[in-house]
Amino acid sequence: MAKPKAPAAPVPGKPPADLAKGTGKSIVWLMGGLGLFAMVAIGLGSPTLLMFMLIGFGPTFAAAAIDRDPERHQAIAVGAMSLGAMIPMVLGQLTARAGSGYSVLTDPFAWLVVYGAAGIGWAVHTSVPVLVVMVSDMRNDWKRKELQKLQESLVEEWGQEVTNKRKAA
Amino acid sequence: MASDAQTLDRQGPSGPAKPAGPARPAASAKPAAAKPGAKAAGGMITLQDRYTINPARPYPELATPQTPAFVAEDPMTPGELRAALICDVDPLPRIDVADKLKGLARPGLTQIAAFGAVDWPGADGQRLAVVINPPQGGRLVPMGAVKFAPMSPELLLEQVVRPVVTGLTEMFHRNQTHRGIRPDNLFFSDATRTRIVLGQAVTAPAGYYQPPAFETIECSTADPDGKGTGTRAEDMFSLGATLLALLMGHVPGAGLSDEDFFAQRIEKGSLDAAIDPREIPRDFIDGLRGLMADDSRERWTLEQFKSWLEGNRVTAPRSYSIARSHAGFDFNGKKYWSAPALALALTKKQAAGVKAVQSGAVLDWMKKSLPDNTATDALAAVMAEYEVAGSGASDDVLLSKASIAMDPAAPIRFAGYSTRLDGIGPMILSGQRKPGGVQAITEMLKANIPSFWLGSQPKHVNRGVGLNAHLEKLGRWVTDPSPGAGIERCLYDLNPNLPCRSPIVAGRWVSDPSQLLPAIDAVAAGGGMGRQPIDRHIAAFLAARSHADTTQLLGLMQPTNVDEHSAIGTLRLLAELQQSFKAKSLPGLGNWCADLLKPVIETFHHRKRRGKLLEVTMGVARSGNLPALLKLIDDAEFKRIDRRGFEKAKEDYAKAEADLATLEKNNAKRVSDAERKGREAAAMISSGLAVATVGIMLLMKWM
Repeated sequence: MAKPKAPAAPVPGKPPADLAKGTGKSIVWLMGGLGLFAMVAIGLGSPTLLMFMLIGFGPTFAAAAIDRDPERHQAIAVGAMSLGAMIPMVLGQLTARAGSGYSVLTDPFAWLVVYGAAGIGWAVHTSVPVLVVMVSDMRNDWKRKELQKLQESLVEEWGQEVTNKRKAA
Repeated sequence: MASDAQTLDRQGPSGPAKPAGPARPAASAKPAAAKPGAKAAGGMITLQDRYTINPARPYPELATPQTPAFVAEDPMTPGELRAALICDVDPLPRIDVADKLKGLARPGLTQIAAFGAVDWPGADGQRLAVVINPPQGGRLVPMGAVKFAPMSPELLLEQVVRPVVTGLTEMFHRNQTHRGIRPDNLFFSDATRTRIVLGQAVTAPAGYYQPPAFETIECSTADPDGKGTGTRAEDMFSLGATLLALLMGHVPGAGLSDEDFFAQRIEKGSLDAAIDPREIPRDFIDGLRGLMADDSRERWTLEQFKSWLEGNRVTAPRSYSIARSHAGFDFNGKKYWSAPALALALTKKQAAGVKAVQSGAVLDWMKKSLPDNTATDALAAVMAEYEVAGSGASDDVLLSKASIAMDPAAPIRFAGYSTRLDGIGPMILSGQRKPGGVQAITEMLKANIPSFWLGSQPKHVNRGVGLNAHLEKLGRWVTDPSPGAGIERCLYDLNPNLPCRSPIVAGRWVSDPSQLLPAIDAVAAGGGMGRQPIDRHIAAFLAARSHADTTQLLGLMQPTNVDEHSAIGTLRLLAELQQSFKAKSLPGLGNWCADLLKPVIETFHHRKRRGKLLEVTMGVARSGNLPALLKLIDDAEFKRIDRRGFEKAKEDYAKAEADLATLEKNNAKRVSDAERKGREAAAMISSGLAVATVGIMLLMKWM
């Protein structure tokens, strides 16, 4: 008889396979959304906007490339902020008068806003997990101290014999 | 008799009066009981806050070999001398008889004024002091004298018979036997030596000092301790033998060995073996024949004797003797002509006796030479039983049963001991000080020899209701190692007056369970108690004298490892005793119990409650209220709450321990999860910010 396959050992730094499977959809969905948006933009026949968006999403592509998280949270954070900054700029380009000669590609403010937003997204992605871990550590410490205090009070009340512990069910 | 001192008092009872009364304090007159380390000889001992005993003034005239006598005084009757007889436990005094006769002042009897336990100087424990109104004229015959001047029949009747009969009448009226009637236990009650009284016979077991000649054939070969309480019939025989001795001027059978005199009594009858027709007036012969009849059924009662004294015609029994065989049996260089005489000889020389019985020579001789087949058949049955039992059967058992088969009326003879059925109790007591004594008596009881003896008796012998069952109970007790059983139980069961022999009571005279607790309390207060709370003697004493349940005390027999169960068992027993005997406060015992209970208190888990319990326990212990102490310690509800609380605490501790371990174990995963959640949160925050930014900018543009 063939031996049943042993479950794969968890890889450090990677979420379990089932977890990755469930969260991968959001990446696909986001990338799909971005692609659709680009296709609409291309379809409108504006190579300027296409260029703007390709360059504007540069930090997003970089984040997606270096992010080892299967759900690409870093790319989402940077991408969402970049997208949020680009939409008003794109709308500004689309609504500009034909004779104004405005090109978003040459607007330093637009690039400042887009890349600033990407930086904010990057900063959020870097700082929030640290904060969450800090909070988790604090809660963990409180719980441990609480348990140790309970044990000390039990020993004080009932004597050292109480430490002859049985396995908790 | 061979064992008696061959004293010849030529002056005798009719000679000049010997100086009677106590010896004066002198350099040579040391207290008989004084031992090194005794307190000052001048210290007076007080009995019952009334009688004062002077240990420095012996009263040798009233002393017996085992019982020294001392001068005593009664402040209520100044000027009148009293004497105190100081008794040890062994030989055991007849306290029940003393109790019945206490205060009885009748002609013919020595008055017992009081008795009770006293702390005797130099003794290793308490002694029983029996205070008597001492006879003033000394003994009729010197103590242990074998030959003395004969008395005339008239003087005998006047001086001896009438007062002794009066005294015996008083005793029999109170259902007591004297069991000490012999010439040297008759005293002149007055200094002028005209009136006789019976000496006391309560300071030793019944018949203890009686020479064989003054005992019935059945009792004569029993050991001094084993003669048993006996009946009035034994006293009547002793009276006859005493009168005979006083008439003849010597102890019956004087000059013969005990064994030879016994053989003659068997063959001729007690009177005919002792009597010299030339020495006895013909008028007395019938009276003596009536009193000294060897068949107890034919022996005169006191009423018959009194009737005869009044001149009435009373039928004297025929001479009683056992048929002499037509061929003798050679044993140990002598020839024996009757089964009882041979049985005695066989048990005196045990190794040769066993050999003779085992070889079948004795049985063959009985078959060929004895006219009566009863004893022969009985011995044949014993031999058959022995052969079935095989070589594993004890030689002592064989010889004992053979002896009983050959002479059923004789005492039980076993491994050198000889005792009547009602003498087994004192025999166990004396056996304790003899090498191998306890072992021999234990084997005798284990083999149910007493039951065999009882079953061998002729039908007319009163077996008593439940006697056989009681004897079998002795056999069971003696093999039972549990508390309240063993040879100790037999000892206290068969000696109702025996004080507790436990070393724990430190020699105090404790003959009643109500006295036990105060005695232990006194020892405990003095720090004399060891770790062992109750020993076999105390357990057996309580089992025999009270209805205490001693089955729970096995753990207490062990000097170490007194566990919770044993400690509470001890306290419960002691508390029950204190309650049932209404004993006063017992602070010494309470403190000792508290010490014993400390490990029990330690078993309570809750620290604060335990500390409080210890504090309260010590307080109650000091008050000496053992039932309250038991209630405090043996509180089931309190124990249950403590046990449940402790179990819950243990579970809580274990759960906390498990939770801590889980926290430690899952630490890396928790951090990883937190990071992942942080990244998710960052993505959501970024997305939210983006949507909000777009929304705000659009609003700003179009508004």
